[in-house]
Amino acid sequence: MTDVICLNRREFLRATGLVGLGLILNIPIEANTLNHSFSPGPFVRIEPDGQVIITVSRSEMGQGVYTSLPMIVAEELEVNLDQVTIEQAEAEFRYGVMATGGSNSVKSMFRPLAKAGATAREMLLAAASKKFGVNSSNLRARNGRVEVVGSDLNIKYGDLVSIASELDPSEFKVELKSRKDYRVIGGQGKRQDTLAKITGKATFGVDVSLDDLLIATVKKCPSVGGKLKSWDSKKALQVKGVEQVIRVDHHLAVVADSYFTAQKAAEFIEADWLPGENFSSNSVRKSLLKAKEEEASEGFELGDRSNSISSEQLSIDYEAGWQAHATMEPQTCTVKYSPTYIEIWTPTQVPIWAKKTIESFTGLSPSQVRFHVTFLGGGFGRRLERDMIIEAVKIARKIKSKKPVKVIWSREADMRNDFYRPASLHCMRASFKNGTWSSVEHKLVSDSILASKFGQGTLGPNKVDPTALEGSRFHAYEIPYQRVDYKYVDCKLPIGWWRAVYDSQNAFAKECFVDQVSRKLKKDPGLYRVELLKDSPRHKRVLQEVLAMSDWDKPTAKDKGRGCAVHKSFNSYVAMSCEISLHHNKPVIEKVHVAVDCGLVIHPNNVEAQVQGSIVFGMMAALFGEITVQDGKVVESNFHQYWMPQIQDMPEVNIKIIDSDEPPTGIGEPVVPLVAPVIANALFDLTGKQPTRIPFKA
Amino acid sequence: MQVEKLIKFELNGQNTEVKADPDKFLLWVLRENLGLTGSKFGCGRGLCGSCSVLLNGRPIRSCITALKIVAGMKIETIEGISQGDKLHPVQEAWLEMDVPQCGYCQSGQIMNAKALLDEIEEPDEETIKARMSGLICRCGTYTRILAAIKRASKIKKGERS
Repeated sequence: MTDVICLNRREFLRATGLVGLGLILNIPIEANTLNHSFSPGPFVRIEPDGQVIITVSRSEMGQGVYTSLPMIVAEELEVNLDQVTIEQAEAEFRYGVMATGGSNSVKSMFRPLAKAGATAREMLLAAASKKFGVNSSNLRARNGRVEVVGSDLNIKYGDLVSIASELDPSEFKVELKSRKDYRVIGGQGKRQDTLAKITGKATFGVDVSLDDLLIATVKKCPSVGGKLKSWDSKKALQVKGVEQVIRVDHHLAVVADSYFTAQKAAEFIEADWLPGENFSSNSVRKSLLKAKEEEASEGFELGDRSNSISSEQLSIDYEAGWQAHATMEPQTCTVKYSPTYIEIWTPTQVPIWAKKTIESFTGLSPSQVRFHVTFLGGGFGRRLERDMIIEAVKIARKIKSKKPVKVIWSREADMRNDFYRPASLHCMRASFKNGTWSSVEHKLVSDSILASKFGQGTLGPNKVDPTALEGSRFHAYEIPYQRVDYKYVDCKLPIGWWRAVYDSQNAFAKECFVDQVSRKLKKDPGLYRVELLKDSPRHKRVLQEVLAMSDWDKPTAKDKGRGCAVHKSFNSYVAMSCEISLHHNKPVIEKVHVAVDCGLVIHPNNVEAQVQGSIVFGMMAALFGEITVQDGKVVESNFHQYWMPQIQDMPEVNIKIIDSDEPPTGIGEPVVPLVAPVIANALFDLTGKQPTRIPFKA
Repeated sequence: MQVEKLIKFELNGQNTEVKADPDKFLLWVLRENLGLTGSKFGCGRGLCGSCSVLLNGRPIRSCITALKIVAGMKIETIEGISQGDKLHPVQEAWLEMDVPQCGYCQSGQIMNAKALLDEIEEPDEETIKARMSGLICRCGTYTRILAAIKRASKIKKGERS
């Protein structure tokens, strides 16, 4: 992975995603001449005392960026992780894209951060060369020092800060390290946030503390799209400690001195709400089934239809229900408001987008809004939304005492006011010629996240949401004719990006169907996949690993079933198999084998953790909970109705991480989509019946 | 409305008194009156366990436990189990295994694990699962929680011998 780059200013800006931001590189340098630190760009700063500060511009929601991103900088800068202090970036344009999602933090930040580290290193070497009067080819950087090769002479980075800060980063030719020289990347780096998280010291959104801070909670309209008609807050205002009851759109916020007080007072509010549209899980299911019969739009086509379709067919419909994000930390946002300056602290995945939203909403300029990102008590896509932030600002600006406010939603508000994973229907049809699989058609009927966020116009004249097609295609498999059609149905419930997004439903339908096709052809579902993956070497590699790990060539015990699946999403390749048994007629997942190829692995410890966690996340949506709607209201309110896997449900997990020189890709999401199909396929193996809807009903 | 009362208890080894609504849930007394934010609010109904603290050595759900109930009793929270820089063996094992992901539920997990190991020095896997059941981790760190409890048991044993 050697990479020689003559890094002029323009290229540096382009490489770091900072094009168009002109003098970015100069800003920190000029600012830092004042406090005598060395900062050749937005991500690295070295203090005269030798402290190395690395700024993380993505949100830490458990997926590990607080460690993996600094590891990339530390590698090139030649420092150890324990020499580094990590800072969370505030929302500022100089960091480039700050949105955390799509499993893309490591993928998109790898080169910019490597270059940032390498540029700082080369500048420190040049500074040492000046200081010692030694040619820089006789110098090397190691462990936070520059050493003169072949002598005992060396100098700490901190002692080079004043000379290095006089240099212009754009003049440096940067060569990235070769993989064989890696000391940090690929090593067992300890998570940099663990200590804070096991001692109770990590600051999440709900932990933000300010002088005179008020607490608000929100009594939400019970109906989806309902309206607030009238309310009586007299009794609530009599509760000691309550300051105000504020109308925010069609909801009511109780502002008090304590969450306990606010929550108690909220129960005393008598509110009259007008219901929204009357719909239910059943009515939406009927609309999806009806739309199945209507004409859909072409999303993808491969091969020649006329030669491939035959009368020998297999058709199966698969369905997926709504799912909530249910982050352990309910939605929360803290706002210090004045008409000319707003400061916000919140656990968000989209700090820049949220900051811009607040600027346009309040008419303030970028310099009048300061935006801090805390640790996120889970994200999973819920915190790609800005609803809780806009709401908190609306509350804050109505507070008469002008005190800052922290809004904390109850679990009930959180669960019933989510942007859920869309419900979907997948109509699969295969046809066969001469005993081989000749065509596959997938008609996807679902709501569109794109349309719900950005308007139906984004779907174009054919009304296709291209994001909904992610993971819907069979093109890794060699099947002569392939087609995906999309039919948009507005399902009325707010929807959003849920970990792995549409891949989570599409992979379920696709991999369940491949399994059924293999059964129809009387082929082994694992080996048949290998056969079909002829021209997809990375798919094939992970699948073969998993088959080997799970002794696929040996039969399972009579009372066990097993299933497998392979799927690429977010540019990473994953194969999975599982072994299940039945206990009181309910599936028990005993063992799971996973092989992942996510390119060059920065932090194996974290890849392993993400795989383990994704299995639990996938199990939840396959076997445990579902969001349902009755009379236009979300039924589930808390964890007694929206059940989660617990420690006793955790299977044995065996993981193989493929060693790869390909560019690094994501691992936060790509494992989730495989969990439901492997369980469904294992159930078929055991019982002869494959569940066709997630979550499965036992 | 309840009148505020002065309620005394032992918190992390210190005599503590709080003047508050005696019905106020302990979680909010800890977080708001005493500034100890390590115990987390997850569900408000005792369903997820993120708010777990120890009351006379036993794990309780502080989000549904009224302040008046803890009068005169001993409370331990995540902030009180290490001694200065020296981590509690459970924390040490958690650090070694890098258990947390988002970390939000981990104070509750750790407090339950501590109570378990205080009671049973070497719990078997079934006991660990039975005692840690009912604690929700949305990130799914269960594999490492199980491993870390086994490891903590060994660390504690090493300290005893």
